[in-house]
Amino acid sequence: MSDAYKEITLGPEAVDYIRDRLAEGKTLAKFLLDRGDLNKGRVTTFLPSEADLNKVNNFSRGGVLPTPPPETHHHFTAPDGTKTVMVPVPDTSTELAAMIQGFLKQGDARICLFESAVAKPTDGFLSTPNAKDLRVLSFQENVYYLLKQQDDREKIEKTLRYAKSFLVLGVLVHLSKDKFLDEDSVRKELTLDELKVLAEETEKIVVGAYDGEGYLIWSRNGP
Amino acid sequence: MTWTQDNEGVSYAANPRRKEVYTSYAAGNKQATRVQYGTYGLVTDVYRYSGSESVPIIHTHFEYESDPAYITRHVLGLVKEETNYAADGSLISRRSFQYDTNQLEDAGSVIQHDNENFGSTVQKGRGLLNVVQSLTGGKTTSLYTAYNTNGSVVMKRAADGRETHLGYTDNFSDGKNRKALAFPTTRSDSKGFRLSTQYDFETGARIQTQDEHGTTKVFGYDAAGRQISSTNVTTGGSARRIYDDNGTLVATFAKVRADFKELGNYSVYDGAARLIARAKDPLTKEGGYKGVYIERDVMGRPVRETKPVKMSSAWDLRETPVNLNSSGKSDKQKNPSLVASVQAFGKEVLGGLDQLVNMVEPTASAQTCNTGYYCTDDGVGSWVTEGDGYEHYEGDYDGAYSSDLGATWNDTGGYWDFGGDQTAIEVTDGSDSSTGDQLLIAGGLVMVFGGPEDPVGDIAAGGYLAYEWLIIDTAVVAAGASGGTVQASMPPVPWADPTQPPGADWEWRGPDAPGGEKGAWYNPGTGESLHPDMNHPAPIGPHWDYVDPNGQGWRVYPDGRMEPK
Repeated sequence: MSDAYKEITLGPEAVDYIRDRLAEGKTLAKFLLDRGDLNKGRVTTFLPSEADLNKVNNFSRGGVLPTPPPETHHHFTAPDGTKTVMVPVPDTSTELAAMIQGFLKQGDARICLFESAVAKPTDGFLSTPNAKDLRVLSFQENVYYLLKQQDDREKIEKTLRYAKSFLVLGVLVHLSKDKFLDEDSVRKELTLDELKVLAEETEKIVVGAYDGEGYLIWSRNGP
Repeated sequence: MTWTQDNEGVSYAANPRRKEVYTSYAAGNKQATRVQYGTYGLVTDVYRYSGSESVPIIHTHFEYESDPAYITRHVLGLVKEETNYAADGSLISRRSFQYDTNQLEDAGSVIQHDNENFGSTVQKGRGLLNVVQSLTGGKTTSLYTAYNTNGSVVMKRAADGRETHLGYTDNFSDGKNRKALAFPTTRSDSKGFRLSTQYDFETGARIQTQDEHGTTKVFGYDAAGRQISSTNVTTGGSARRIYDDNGTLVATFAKVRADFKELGNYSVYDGAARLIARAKDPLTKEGGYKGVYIERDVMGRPVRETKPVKMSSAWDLRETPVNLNSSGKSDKQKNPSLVASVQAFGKEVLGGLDQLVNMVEPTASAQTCNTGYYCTDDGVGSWVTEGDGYEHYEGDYDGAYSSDLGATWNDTGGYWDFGGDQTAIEVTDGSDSSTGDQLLIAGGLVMVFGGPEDPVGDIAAGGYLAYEWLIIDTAVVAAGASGGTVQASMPPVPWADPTQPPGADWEWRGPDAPGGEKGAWYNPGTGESLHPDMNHPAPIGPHWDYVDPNGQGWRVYPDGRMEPK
């Protein structure tokens, strides 16, 4: 983690928030909910040092991160003369991508999987040029985006962008077998058993928070 | 000029270097520079004098990295701090430099790289500059750079927090993986800009690029390694460059799309590759060729430049060339030598064109522009001469040119309507002091109105702009999206009734009923989603979360504002 960010350990209310989000999810989320060790895990978030820590436990609301400096604001004049200012919403996606990359690079048998809350395998969008380099797995009506060790920051950030919707849910998995590692850029169908194994071997759960400005990271305690 | 060296007692040269430099001008003014050296012969202090030789007007002091990790490796001269003092000794500015402070990204096993001795465990001693902190006018800014184990830059973070990431995975046009990791093949930044680049292994020349929208550009080169073409495969736009035999005349022809007109620019260089004249095709049928001649002194420095001189299609002068004086105003005094220079320039262009004639098909508008009269500018903008002798036109294009491109003038809004989405944008960029650099987005075609010299760079610094082609003057500067976050069109938010789909192609996805908090309207064909967050408390307030087809997220407010997230 870069010096500009700090990791904040959150209390049990963060686990509740993660449970609520998992309940909104699909098959992988349901398997994660079935894990018996959710309460035993450690939940953290990483925020810029100047973030408003008074709001850190209000996971559903934005405004935690500081407003970007005025030089990043942009002034627009519409054709009708109306002037307005666009202020970028701050977020920590770059830092999350770095964290994911750091996890993946720790070893061969590591993957990251994001569960799309909105996409279906039959969606035409998944065949467009924009999505052609996303590694897409599916189970029934569910779509999952897979990241592997060799993926660079660009691919991780792109996958993260496409995985975002009203719900962001990802898992970082240290696999005990070489499943998923010998295939690349294929549209693969997962089985229920495979999803169950993925949920059981998940080391970290990533859940979007703060209205898209940040993320909560649940980490498994112990082996 | 006086000199010193490592040992001034010997009669032979031993690392000689300048100690004092005195300069006297014919006008009587003087200036001097004194340099002091320290350990290893490194410059420690520079004193600059003007007039009085007793009190320096500026004193610059240097400190160097002296950590044994560097000295034992003979890595000498890494500047640790540079401080500038005024005549009264007060601090003007300070820059500090930090080396090897960041963890290196492990590039893995790379051919021709000593991975054993310079792997990820060796951080200190490389001399890689990680942090530059600048203090000027009481304001401190920091620039961060991160590297991989090969010493290649993998990340840069600007003072505004914008990060640019570079990847080096092999991407050669022959498809071979050589584990070279020699060229930056991917580039991305925190604003959504993405670019992948393919190279020719033999020459290292850039062969193809593709941005985050899939826009692909292909580049061609001649046997001398000079770039001769650039083609946007996605839009069919292209630019081609043709050189005469000795390389002193260069013609560039560009068109923004396959079915658009091709416009030419012509540059004449002296034997030292210095620009001495240039001309361009007229923008309108009523217009004419315009040529500019740059006069240089024996040192090659530009000393005079004409206003754009009107010519016929046969390159005959249509007006007496007039110099621009130092203030940029016209010098009305006729200068016979200038006439000769410009005429010579015209002949050179003609000669070059004769040589190129078999390769170049003059543009239709160029061939019909032979009015014999002064080809006036549109009266909106003006020619501006830069300090380096270059000149650019600030202002509107000639209306007829826009009309040629199929646009109609929107008198109310004061812009050319090219169809499609229209958004006039004032970019207040941090890279120059001017505000209100006006960029007019018009249906995918962007015209720059009095904008910055480097609009792409400025936009990359944080602007928000979508375009297919960016045109400045007649030159196609860039195609595809800018480096900034792409501004999406206003999505079809169902403000009146969130339970109703935004359009026929949209479906509700999520556990809640349509319009609920848990779920979003989703377009399966584009990947767009719209999630209502209408109960969000102040200060953010009610809004919709929109993900555009590029995966970029936005907050959309009831007043029409869109904020990238």
